[in-house]
Amino acid sequence: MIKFQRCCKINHNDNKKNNNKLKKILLVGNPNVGKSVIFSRLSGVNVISSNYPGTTIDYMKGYVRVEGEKCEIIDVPGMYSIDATNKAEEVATEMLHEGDVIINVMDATNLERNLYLTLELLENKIPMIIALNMWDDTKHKGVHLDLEKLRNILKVPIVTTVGLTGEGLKDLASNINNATVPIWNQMNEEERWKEIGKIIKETQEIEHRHHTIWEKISDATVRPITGIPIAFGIMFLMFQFIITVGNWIIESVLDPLFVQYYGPWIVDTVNSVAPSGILHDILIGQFVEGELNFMDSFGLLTTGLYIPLVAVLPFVFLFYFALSFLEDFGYLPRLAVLVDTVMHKIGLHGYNIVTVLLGLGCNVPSALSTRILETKKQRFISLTLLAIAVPCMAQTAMIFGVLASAGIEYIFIVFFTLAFLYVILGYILNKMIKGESPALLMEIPPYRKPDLRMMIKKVWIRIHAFLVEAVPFVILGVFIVNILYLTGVMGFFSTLLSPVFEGLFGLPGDASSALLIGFFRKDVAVGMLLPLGMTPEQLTISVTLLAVYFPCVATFTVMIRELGIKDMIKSGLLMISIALIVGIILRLLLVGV
Amino acid sequence: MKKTEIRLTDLSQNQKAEIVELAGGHDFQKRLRYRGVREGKVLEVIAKQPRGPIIISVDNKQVAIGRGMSNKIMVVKI
Repeated sequence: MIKFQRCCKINHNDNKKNNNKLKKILLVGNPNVGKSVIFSRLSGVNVISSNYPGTTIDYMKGYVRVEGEKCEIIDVPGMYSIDATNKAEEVATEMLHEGDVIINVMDATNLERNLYLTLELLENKIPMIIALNMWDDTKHKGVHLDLEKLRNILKVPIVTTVGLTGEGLKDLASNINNATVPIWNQMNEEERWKEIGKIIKETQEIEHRHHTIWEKISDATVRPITGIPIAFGIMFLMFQFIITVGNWIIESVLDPLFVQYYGPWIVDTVNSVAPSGILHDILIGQFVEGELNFMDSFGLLTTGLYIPLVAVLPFVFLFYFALSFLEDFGYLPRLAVLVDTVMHKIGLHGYNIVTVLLGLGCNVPSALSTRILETKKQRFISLTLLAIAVPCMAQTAMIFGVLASAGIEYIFIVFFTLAFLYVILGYILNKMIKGESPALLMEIPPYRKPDLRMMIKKVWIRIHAFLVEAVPFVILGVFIVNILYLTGVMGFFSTLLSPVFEGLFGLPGDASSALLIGFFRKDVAVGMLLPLGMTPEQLTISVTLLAVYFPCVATFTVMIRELGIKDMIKSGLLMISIALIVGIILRLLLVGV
Repeated sequence: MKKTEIRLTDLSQNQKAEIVELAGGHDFQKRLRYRGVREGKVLEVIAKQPRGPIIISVDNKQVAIGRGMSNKIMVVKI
């Protein structure tokens, strides 16, 4: 039976210290062959499998029972060859030598390409079996494979599988102990391709097929004349979906729940323990006009919970839902191609658009995704632009919450400024920083019907991370705000910064305290602007400043790790200078002198 | 008569061609070959971004290749 166990995400260095006597099974194969799905099914572990290259460079480890024996199973980063051409492949190659058994996962519809790695693995003489995955697709694509001949030639067990449905996986697991040590001679590159040509001739036949409707649609989405309008259309639809459904969830479900049930209950509960005084203020907050106002009261148990769970969570959830849909559907690589030309002008790659999209959900996974970029210059530009110009969903939700009543045009100004900053700053950084920006080279997988199970799993992992990381930080943020107010630090800070705020930006001095909080939680910081009674123009400036000046502490931590201290300082100085400049310019444009 | 070699970038959308040479360094060649873009293979141009990447189809699989790289892939029209 296949047992489930919690997985741990580890750094590949841990492997060397591993004194475990458990048999180690490695899942090895090209990118995009469905390894992660097979891993997730065999180990019962939650894994994110995406269609765009390089998502998993930290590999996943789990456990599986094979005929009663507990074994370690590892999802090795996708690679095209043992002769590594990038960081992920280097890591993967190192890991090969630690394996006891290799499951070579291949895309049955792409045999010729996949065989290159297979031949290299055979040459390495580690016991292996082959999982010929995406087997269902071979029928749709008119690919006919002679399995018997293939088995005879390669001389290792071959099992056909369909990762998404689970077909063939039991068979695969039971064949692990049948792994044979390959008998294969070492070859050079040219010889391998020749051998592959021979094998393909003997085992594969592809029917000629006419273009299907899906292929015609696929082509339309990727050709600039049709593709760009389609891209805008999709982004617009996604946006509409998130806002409309999100607002509905808040207004019809979450807000009433909080206001009518939770609110009175928590006030009563806390009042019975601490009817007034410091504890009361910290937990419940100050009443606004004699009433509990969830946004403004600033209690740990009121605002501290309202903001993440009511004001932000629905949007985060819907955003990730839409993003996972686009990912699994296969749209993102095509989007990357459409924007690649523009991205190149700012020193980045087309698939950096994915980093931007991720960042719109939460900056932390987005910052981590910059690891797949090849050069230091690209990583610096990508991370700096992320911190400055890409607002996370928590921030965005609050921006809407704060500015919606003032008018849609203000929201537009904020986002337009951020987008403009992204492009202009990127362009400047690209010109100023030495270094290369390698060209795009990326497989475009066919459109697939998204698997609802996989989507829900993905969304759940991302939401779960948000709840586990975000909620404590919000509560912490609110707590700190309260302490800072009560101890007068807040007041001191705003007096200090008043000249800058009032003189340069035209904002009330108290708005500066939002900056302090913004380091912990951007959304709470935006919320803090509400009670200050600013004009729409002032709110717009404040909100933009909050987005630009510095990332939240979670992102900041990741950035230090990814950039190193020296570059982080450079990046930080950039952020603060940009914030000053943007603040002044916006003030001049919106408020006048 | 021997057909003239042209660059991938000189092809237009929907044209088919055979790959004759990957005119770059060893690394360049390897990266292309692993993704199915090999000498002797027939490709079809699916889409061209103005001054941007080109998407080709080889063996029914699509690959996006940046302009710089596409300029160094030599083909003959079919």
